[in-house]
Amino acid sequence: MKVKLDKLVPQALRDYQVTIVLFICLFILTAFLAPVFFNLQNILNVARQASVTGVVAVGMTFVILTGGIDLSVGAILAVVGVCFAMMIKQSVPIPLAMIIAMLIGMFIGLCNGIGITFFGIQAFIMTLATMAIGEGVALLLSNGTPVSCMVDSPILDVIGNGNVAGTPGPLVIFAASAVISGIVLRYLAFGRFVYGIGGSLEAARLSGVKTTRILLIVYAISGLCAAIAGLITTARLFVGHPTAGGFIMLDSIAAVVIGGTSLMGGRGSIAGTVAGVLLLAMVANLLNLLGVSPFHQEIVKGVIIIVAVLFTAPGLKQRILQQWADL
Amino acid sequence: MQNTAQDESGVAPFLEMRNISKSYSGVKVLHGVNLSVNTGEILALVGENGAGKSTLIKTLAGAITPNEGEILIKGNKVGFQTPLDAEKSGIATVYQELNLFPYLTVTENLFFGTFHNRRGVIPWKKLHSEAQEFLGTLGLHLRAERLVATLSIAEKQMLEIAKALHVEARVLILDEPTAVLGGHDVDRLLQIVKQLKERGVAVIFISHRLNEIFGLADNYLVLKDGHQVASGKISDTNHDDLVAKMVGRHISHAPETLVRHDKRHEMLRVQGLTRKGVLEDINFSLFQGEVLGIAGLRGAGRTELVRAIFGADPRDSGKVLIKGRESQVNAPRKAVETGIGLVPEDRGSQGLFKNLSCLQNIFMAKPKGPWIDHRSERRKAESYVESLQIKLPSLNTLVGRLSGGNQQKIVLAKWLESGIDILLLDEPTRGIDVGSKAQIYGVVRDLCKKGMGVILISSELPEILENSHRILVMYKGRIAGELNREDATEEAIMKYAVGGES
Repeated sequence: MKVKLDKLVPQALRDYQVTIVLFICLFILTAFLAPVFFNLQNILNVARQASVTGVVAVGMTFVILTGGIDLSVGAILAVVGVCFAMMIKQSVPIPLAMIIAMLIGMFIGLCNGIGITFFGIQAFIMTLATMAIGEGVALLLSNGTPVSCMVDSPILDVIGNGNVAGTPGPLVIFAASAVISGIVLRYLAFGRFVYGIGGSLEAARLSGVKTTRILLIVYAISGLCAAIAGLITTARLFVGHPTAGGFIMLDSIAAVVIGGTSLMGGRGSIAGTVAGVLLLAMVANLLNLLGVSPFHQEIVKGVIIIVAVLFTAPGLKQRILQQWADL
Repeated sequence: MQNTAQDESGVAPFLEMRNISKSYSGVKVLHGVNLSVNTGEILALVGENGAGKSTLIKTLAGAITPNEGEILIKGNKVGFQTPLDAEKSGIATVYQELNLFPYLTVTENLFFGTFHNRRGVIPWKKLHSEAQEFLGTLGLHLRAERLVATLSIAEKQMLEIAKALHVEARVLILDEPTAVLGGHDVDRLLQIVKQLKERGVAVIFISHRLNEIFGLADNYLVLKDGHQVASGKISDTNHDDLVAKMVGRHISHAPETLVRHDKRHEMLRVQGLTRKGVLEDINFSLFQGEVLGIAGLRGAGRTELVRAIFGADPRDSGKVLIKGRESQVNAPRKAVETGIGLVPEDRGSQGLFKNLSCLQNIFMAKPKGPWIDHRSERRKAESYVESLQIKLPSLNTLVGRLSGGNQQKIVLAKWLESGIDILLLDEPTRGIDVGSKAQIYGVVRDLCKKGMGVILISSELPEILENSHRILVMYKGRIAGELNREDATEEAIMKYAVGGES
């Protein structure tokens, strides 16, 4: 019976069954509790808000697939947001300012990669350190106050509050980054090596994979994605906020994990991450519509993360029994 | 649990194992082995790799339960369900992999589980001085406050022995204690073992270095393929006799049609390869179509040699020439680029990506071009599944779910796909069923026909003898001897492998 089911349901669906089931439950729940949700304007709003987390989560997916973690994304977002605002204030042409801002993000990501590969510092520690440094730099540059950059620019409008063909600009950016990353992970040899490193760094090395190079690129990608999120944030608020990073790091990791990507590396996908991002955004919106306080919302988010991870772990029942025996 | 306080002047030996048999999933690894050892006596347990020595001592240490047979202490039957039971009966084991806590002090390791504490407070000063004193009585001069991580391997080994004695072991099992030690440390260890004998401890000593046994043991027991083939007083035997007993009269194998190799085309030449303390002045060549076997005991440096050639480990001096050109291989990726592939000894963590699919595994080494063509990959993978007779439910199955033999075939497929022409095989058949073994060697022969050069490391002497054109035997990081196919016998290999005259 079970074998049959395995053959009927495609591998891809089985990998994300938890996310899919959660989604369906959520939809049913929403339809009953807050049908307002299905208003197009509301959905577009949710998507716009989710996009910042989404772009960061896409970069985070690469890192987590290699078995690493990037805690510095929020700090990168803040530094880049502040720098971007300051450059605009100094009348640097906006396209140039965007390029410089993205290079800053990639540079910080590359520093993470160098610390992790060449100096052998654990990813958790290395990115924790750059997180602290980045937050400090953002506060220093901005003197601790938001940097205002109120200018009238079509580019800023598009990446912030405007639309492209009726679709929110940030959502277009998120979708584009997800599609490109999905292609990279599936159709480029690079993508396969990312999974390989997550599967076993040593086996990848002994298979002739350029492990150091790939890890450097992966952390640079994460930095770049965080920088893009920084641009969006600044463009939306017309302010470079030194503490704009906020919960972005935790939210992006949560989205990746809910999407079925293993923190041990080697398993997962961008599609899962997108689902995770949307799921978290939907829950937040639903709770908002129901008038649940933000404090309660955080608690619900935590519970969802635990439930999602619990059900993606294989052999849960056996594990519980074993742990009980080992007590 | 037997009382050990009585005097043992009776007839029954202190420890006796009678008719011990053990099977794993239908394969019998021990066939009715009898062992006995008395207090103040040293028994040498010898045999080739895989002869069943480890299994035997594990039954004695309570780590595994035998299917048949009984264990008696002073004539009384005992049953060990867990290692703790064995420990309570006074049997202590020092395994090759040491079980010490690296970031605790010598004292903490020594007294682990037997801390005195007064109302939850540990009297450190007192403990340290007690530890110091106890170590002193064994002639060990280790500062008790030191962290175990800072000790040398020899010191750790001594500490492990001290730990066993601290729980008042009456029987001490030493599993190849000297395998990882250098000359001076070996002498010290043997000295301590002799002291223990004088104190009335029964010692079961496993070693591959026969020279050590002759100065030390009183009795010997030889295992081969799980059978007890000989036992007796060490004074009644000699080096060559013991080697012959270990190897046994083995069944002659069906002659394999080895591929004629081409001595004119040198694939690989190693000159003066040295890695301090691990490899010393290694010189050899590998020719096109040749299988070069490397034999030797565990710890002789075989794995380290192929890893150094592959660039996985650093090397201090020496040259490696690949197809006549000097190569600067200092990383595996460069080795793969120059056409070398390695099938590592530790298949699970180094050869395979267990959590990735079979397909992902096969195409992990050096794909052609930056883009992946999923359709053609699937076709190629299917052809490997067919040609290598890999049994798998689907190409998307996680490799970790396959049997050992099929896993290894996936590793081979990976290297075939990468287009290498020198293949280094490190224990390719370990933990693999007989059928898959034959298939894997069949693949190796096919590769040789196509002009590949193969280096084969195996602890299974029959496999090396059957499949190699030439055999190098390593001993303590050096090449102790070279044998042609015609002259190679298990006896000849073992003689070099245990450090006999060259």
